[in-house]
This record gives sequence, C-alpha cells and structure tokens, in this order.
Amino acid sequence: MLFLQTLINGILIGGLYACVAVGFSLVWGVSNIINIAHGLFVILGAYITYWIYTLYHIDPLLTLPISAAALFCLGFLVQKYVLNFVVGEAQESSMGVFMTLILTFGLARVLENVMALLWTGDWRSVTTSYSGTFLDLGGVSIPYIRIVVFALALAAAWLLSVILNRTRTGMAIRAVTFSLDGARIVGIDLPFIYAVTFAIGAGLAGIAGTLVSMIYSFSPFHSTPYLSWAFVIVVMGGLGSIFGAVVGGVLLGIIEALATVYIGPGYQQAVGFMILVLLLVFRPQGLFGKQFLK
Amino acid sequence: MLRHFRNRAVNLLSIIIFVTVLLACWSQPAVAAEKTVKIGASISLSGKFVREGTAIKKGYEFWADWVNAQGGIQIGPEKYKAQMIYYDDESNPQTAAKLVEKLITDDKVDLLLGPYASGIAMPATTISEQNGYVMILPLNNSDSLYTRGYKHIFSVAPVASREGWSTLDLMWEQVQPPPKSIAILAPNSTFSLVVATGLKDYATQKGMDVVLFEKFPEETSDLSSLLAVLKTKNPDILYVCGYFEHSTLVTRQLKDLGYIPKALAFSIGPQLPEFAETLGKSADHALAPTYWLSSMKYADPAFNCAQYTEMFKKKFGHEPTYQSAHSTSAGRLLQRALEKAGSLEQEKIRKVLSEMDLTDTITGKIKFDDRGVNIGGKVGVVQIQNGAQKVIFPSVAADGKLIYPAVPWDKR
Repeated sequence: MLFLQTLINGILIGGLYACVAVGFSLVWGVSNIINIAHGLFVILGAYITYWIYTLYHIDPLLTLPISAAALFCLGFLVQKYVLNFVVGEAQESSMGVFMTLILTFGLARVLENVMALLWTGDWRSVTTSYSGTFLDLGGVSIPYIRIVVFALALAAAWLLSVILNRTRTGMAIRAVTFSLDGARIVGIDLPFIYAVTFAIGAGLAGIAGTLVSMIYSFSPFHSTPYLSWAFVIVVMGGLGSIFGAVVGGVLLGIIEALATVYIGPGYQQAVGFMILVLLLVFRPQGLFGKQFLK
Repeated sequence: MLRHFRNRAVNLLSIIIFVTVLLACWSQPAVAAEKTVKIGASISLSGKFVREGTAIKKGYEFWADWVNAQGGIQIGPEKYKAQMIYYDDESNPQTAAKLVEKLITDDKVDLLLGPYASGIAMPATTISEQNGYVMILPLNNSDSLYTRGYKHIFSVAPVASREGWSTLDLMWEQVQPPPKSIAILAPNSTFSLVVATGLKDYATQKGMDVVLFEKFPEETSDLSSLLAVLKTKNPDILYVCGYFEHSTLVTRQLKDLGYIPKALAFSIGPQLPEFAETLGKSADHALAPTYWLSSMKYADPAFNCAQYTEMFKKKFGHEPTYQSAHSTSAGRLLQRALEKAGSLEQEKIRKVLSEMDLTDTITGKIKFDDRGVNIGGKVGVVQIQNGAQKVIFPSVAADGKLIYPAVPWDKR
C-alpha cells in the first residue's frame, strides 16, 4: 500500500516536473540558451495567480491563461530586446553560450529582487476551498488538485507539440533546430523565431507557476529547485524533446518519491543529480533526444 | 576721576562676589550628585540582525529608564542611576568582540549586558570571560555557547535543545492517557537538528517511542512521500523542527493525505500570524513553542506582562517583541542580582546569579545550572484555536486549554 501511494505521488508530481522542464528544454534545444531565469519565471507565474486569487477571488485554474499570456509577453520582450544580442554568438561558439548564461543569471537576480521588493520574501500559497480534498482508493489517497495539476501539465505539453507540428511558426521553430543554415537559406526570420520560442518557454513556465501555487508554498528566493529539476529532466529526456521531457519528468518524480521512502528523505534531491551524472557519462544524448555533443 | 573709577570697581566687585556666592549656594546640592553605574552593551543596530538588535536595545532602554524613574538601583546603602552605553556591532562577531573589549578597557563600564544572536555572543563572551566580567545573555540560546566551561555567562532564555521539551511536558501534564509515540522530522540545518536531537533524547529518556526520526533537504518542496511513510507509523505526536515553509507544506500535504496525528507541533509557524492567515482552518490545533507573548500570565514584582506591554507601547509606540521582553528581563535580572549582592564586584554578582532562583519574572522562571543555562525556565507552547493563538503551557502563563486530539481535517 505504501509502495502504491508512493508511486502515485511520484507520477502525479512528475507531471508538474515535466511542465517546468518542457519550456526550458525547448528554448535550450532551439536557440542554445540555457535560461537560468526559468525558475524565476515559474515563481512569477505563481505570484500572478496568487495576486489575482487574493485580490479578485478568481479561481486559480481560471488564472492559468492570464499567467501564461503575461509570461509569454515578458519572454518575447526579453528575447527581442536583450537576448537576441547574444543569441547568434550562442549558436556559433561556446563563448556565446557563456554569454547567455551570464545574461540569464543576471536576469534571474533582477527578477528575484524586484519580486522581493514588490511582494516581500514571505512564503505565499493559494488555499482554495477544494484544497485538501482527495479521492480515497482503499487506503491510497489521491488529492484531486494533484490530478488536475497532472492533467493540465500534460495538456500544456500536448498543446506545445500541436503548435510545433501543425502551425507555420511551429514548423519554422523545428526547422531552426534541424538546420540553422537551412533555415537561413529558406528565409526564416531568425530573431523572430528565437523570440517566439523563448516566449513559449516562458509561457509554459507561467503555466507551471500557476500549478505550483496551488500545491506548494513559494517565495522569490527559492526558485533553484525548479531550475535543477529542469536540468536533470532535460539531460534525462534529451534536449528539445517534448516527449522526453514528459517521460523524464514522470521518471524523476517516481525516482524521488521512491528514494524518499526506501533510501531516506535526505536523498530526495541527491538521487536526481546522481542520475544526471551517470547519464552524462554513459548516455549524453539522453534517453530520447538529439546528440548533446556533436 | 580716579575716585569715580574706584567706586565703579567696588560696585562691580561686590556684584561679582554676591553672584558667585549665590551661584555657589545654588549649585551646592547638584555637586553632591547622584551616583551612577555604567552599563555597556554591544548590539546589532545595523546589518542583518538590525531588526532583532533594535528590539533588544529597546528592551534594555525600557528597563534603564524605568529603573532610573524609580530612583535607581539599590546597591548597598545607596541608589545608583543606570547609565547605558550602546555600541553597534554591525551584526559582525569580530566587531562585537572588539566593542566589548572597548567597553571594558576604554569606557571602564561597571557591568555588561549581552548582544543579539548566538554567533555574535560567541567571541563577545570570550572577551568578557577573560576579563572576569559577568554577562547576562537575553536570548542567545545555542547550546554550544554554554559548553565552553565559562563561569560568567548566564542565559535568560532556555537553550535550543530544550525547545521541544515543553510540548512533551504539556502532553504528560494534561493528557490522559498520555501519548506514547512521537515522530520527529527536521530539515538538514544546524538549528533544526539541535532542536530535533534534544527532543529525541528527552522523549527516549522518558520512555516514549520514537517511531520515526528523519532529516529532509532544507530546500525541499515536496514531502508527500515522507508523510506517506509517517501515516504507516501512525504516531500520537508529529513534531516538525523546520522553518515556516516546511510547517505550511507539512500541514497542506497531511491534509492532501487525509491524515492527522493526535497532536501536530512545529518549531516555527503557529507563533506567527501568517500561519493562520495562509492556512485558514487547517491551521487549527497546531502547536508551537513560544519564548514570549504579551498574553502570557507571567508577572514580575514590578509589572506583569500586560502592564509591561502597556508601558512599552506608550514609550515606543508599538508592542514589545519577545526579544525586547527578554532584554528587559535581563536588565531586571541584573538589577535584582546587584540589589542582592550589594556590591559592584563581578565575583559577588556572579555568585549571587549562580544561586538565583526566581519564579517571578516576565519571562518565567530563572534558575541556572553551573554552565549558566537557565534550567528553571520553560519555553511556552501556543496552540491555534479558531484561528487565534492561545498560550497553553506552562500553566502559570496560560490563557487557554489544550485541545487534544486534533480534530480530523474533514470535520472542521
């Protein structure tokens, strides 16, 4: 019974992990930008939900499109006016990747402190009337809210794959990943594609933020776990792969849950990083993704 | 012409003499001035502890002004006014040590009062100990301060490792039949582990069954799997020695799991108004240690907690925090020791303090062991009841009764 409960906990939380990682993975895969500020985007999304819920009493689930749209716009602007200056470099040399790292790191610190200034460093969380209600399956309890979070996280990933496979812009994004030179030759507007990609990544972080606010407490100074999950999952699932991010997320969720119960709660986070190291040594392309080191 | 000048000179001289004599008579009583005793304190008035340090200073200030308004401290046959000297250690331990040295050698203070934060008290007390000065520490309760064999330090607050004891004492005193098992969870951080280990040892020593003792990563955001394990152990008491975020996380995830132990206690959470605000009804019946609250029923011969709060509010415009209450209590303790010793000699004061056994202070009992740890005092316990904090332990300070067992989540 404990095993089953642990497994279900892991799977459900894994959906959220996937939602956090999928945008991060997309941006990294397409424009070679490792977005250190991704965790802060998640927190910002959580704050948007928190404030709309606190001030106007709108159900957190209904704020999902709002935080997604707000983060989408922010992401677009950041890429267009900040990151596009270095993104060309990032595609060409490792020095360029370093530049994007420094830039997004700076962006993260700015976001963190602006949020702390505006909303203090206090821990916040959204508690709805249906928080804490759960489905009882003979000893195994499944909180409704986690089922909803899991379903929405997967829906977001599915929506992303539809955009990438069915829309013109989506196909252009994929074209850039396959061949940068080819994309240039057919006349794809690269800066615009990078901006849209980054915007989608940020929008997905916004969605994850809304979901986070419903099940966790959050504060501007505690965004690191979200970033480290994203890293581990991208390495696990493979760079730029949506399917990989979803499977990687759920796998990480299950592994962490089982490690907590059967090895000890102190190893909850350590296990994820051990897997990261092992994968980088033995299977650097990830379980499903394209080659890391060309 | 000359005569005229001489007349004027005589007039002037007589006026000068008269006025001088008059002034001399006038200032005569003031020359036989009041005696003062110099008391020095190095406190964090800037840097990361500025909030807490300022609260400590206000507590000292309150006491000094109060005792001076009473005419001063009675030492032997005479009354001495307290003359305070404060320095800002900038929340830096090294600076604090230098300032204590300056207070002793440069300002030649008669007495010392302690700083805020245990980390700062570490080097500061080394200096005072070397110089044979007594230092009363208001709130510095890290155990490691008191294991260095120092003879001149005395702590007003009980040490950290005893923080969890009160919750167990409360259970044994008020619950029939008493709870038999406890689970202790703590994040991997120094302070939390001191509290957790102290609690575990006390529980084991008193024959209680510690069914689960686990550390979790401080940065964790999910404890649902650990709580699933907890549910299988089904302890009577769950004690979480974490920080605010861990306490809200555990409460929410226990509710998600549909499980609640008979008693739920947190190191940090229910003492703060944000806890009940964030969690609403889920906050009810949670327990937490508290060092001081203005609603406590403790009383000093001079003023009880309510009167203290009233006077403090009039003076500073806001209610005292537990830091201020402890520094006022430290000042009062020093005063009572001086009155009893009847001397300003450090050795005599030290001896009186080491034999002190007080029940009537605004922070509860004070009695020291030979390390200078207050073993008489007990940390209070609060419980959230209908969204409000009630002090339920110790019974002399209580304004409410324990609700046990906690009401299940779905019956609220």
